[in-house]
Amino acid sequence: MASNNPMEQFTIVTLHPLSAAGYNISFTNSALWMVVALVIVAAFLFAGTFRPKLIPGRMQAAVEACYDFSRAIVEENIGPNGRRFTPLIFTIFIFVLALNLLGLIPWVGSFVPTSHVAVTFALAIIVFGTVLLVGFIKHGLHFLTFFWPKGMNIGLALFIMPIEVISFFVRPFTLAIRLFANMTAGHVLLKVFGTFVVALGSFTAVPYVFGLAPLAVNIALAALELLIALIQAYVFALLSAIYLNDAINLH
Amino acid sequence: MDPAAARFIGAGLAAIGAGLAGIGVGYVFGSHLLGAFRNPEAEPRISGRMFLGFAVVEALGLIAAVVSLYLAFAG
Repeated sequence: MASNNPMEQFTIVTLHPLSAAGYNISFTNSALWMVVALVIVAAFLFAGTFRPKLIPGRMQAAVEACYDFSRAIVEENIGPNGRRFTPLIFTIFIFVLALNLLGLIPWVGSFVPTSHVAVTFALAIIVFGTVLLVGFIKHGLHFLTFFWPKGMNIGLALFIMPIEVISFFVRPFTLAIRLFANMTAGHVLLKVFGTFVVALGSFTAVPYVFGLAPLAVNIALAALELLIALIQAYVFALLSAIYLNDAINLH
Repeated sequence: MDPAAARFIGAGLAAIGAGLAGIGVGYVFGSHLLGAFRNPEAEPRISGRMFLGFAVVEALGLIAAVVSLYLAFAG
C-alpha cells in the first residue's frame, strides 16, 4: 500500500470489460463509485420522503433542507422565471456533493470520481448545453445581443465584444477545472502527508512518536477537505444558476 | 538542459503561481470581514458571495498547482 507516487490513487481500474461497436465502455472503479453515490442519494431521498408528515421528522427535515438550499440558489439568482430549473440545480448540487464526499472515506479503497476532468467536464457540458439551448429557444437570435456591452462608444464596444465571447465560451472549462483541481490537489496533499506519517513514525529507536505531528496535520487537512467538498458542490450549483440567469434574463 | 531537470524546474515555477493565489484569497476574506464589521445585519447576504468569490480565486491558484503536479509526477 505504501507507494511513493501520490498520483497513483487516481488511476482508473477496469472492473468488468464491456465493448459496444468498438468503443470501450467498461465498468471501471470510477463508474462503481458513481453507482454507489447514486444508491446513497436515492436511499437518502427515499427515506426522507417515504411517508411525509406535516411536521417533519429528522430524515424528512434533512431532505427538505437540501431541497430548500438549492431552491434558494435558484430563486436568488434566476428569479421566478427559473423555477423549472430547480431539479437540475438540485441534481447537480447533491450529485457533486455525494461524489466529493465519497472520496473522503478511508480504508475502503475509495476513489473520487470528480477528480477526473472527464467527469467534471461532462457535468459542465450538461450545464453549458442547457444554457445555450435555453438561451436560443427563449430569445432566438436576440440572445447574441448578450455579448454587446451597453452604454459605451462603439469603438470600445467593438473591442470588448471578442473578450466577452471568449469569456463566455471558457465557462464550461473553468467550471470543470475548478472542481477537478480542487479534488485532485486535496487528495494529493492528504496522500503526501500520509507518507510523511509512515516515514517519520518508523524510526526503530523511537517508533510512532515523531509520526504524530504529520498525523495531526493530516487530521486538520481531512477536515479542510470536508469543507472544500461542501463549498465546491455549492459553488458548482451556484455558478450553474448564475449562467442560467444569463441565458434566461439577459442581463 | 536535461528534460527531466527542466520538468522539475518548471514544476517549481508553477508552484510559485499557486502560492500567489493566497494573496487573492486573503483579499476576498479580508473584504468580507471589513464589510461584515461595518454592517453586521447584512452579513448573511454577504456570506454567499464570499464563498463564490473564494472558489473562483482558488480555482486559478489550483490550476497552477495542477500544472505543477503534472510536471512533477506524470509529465
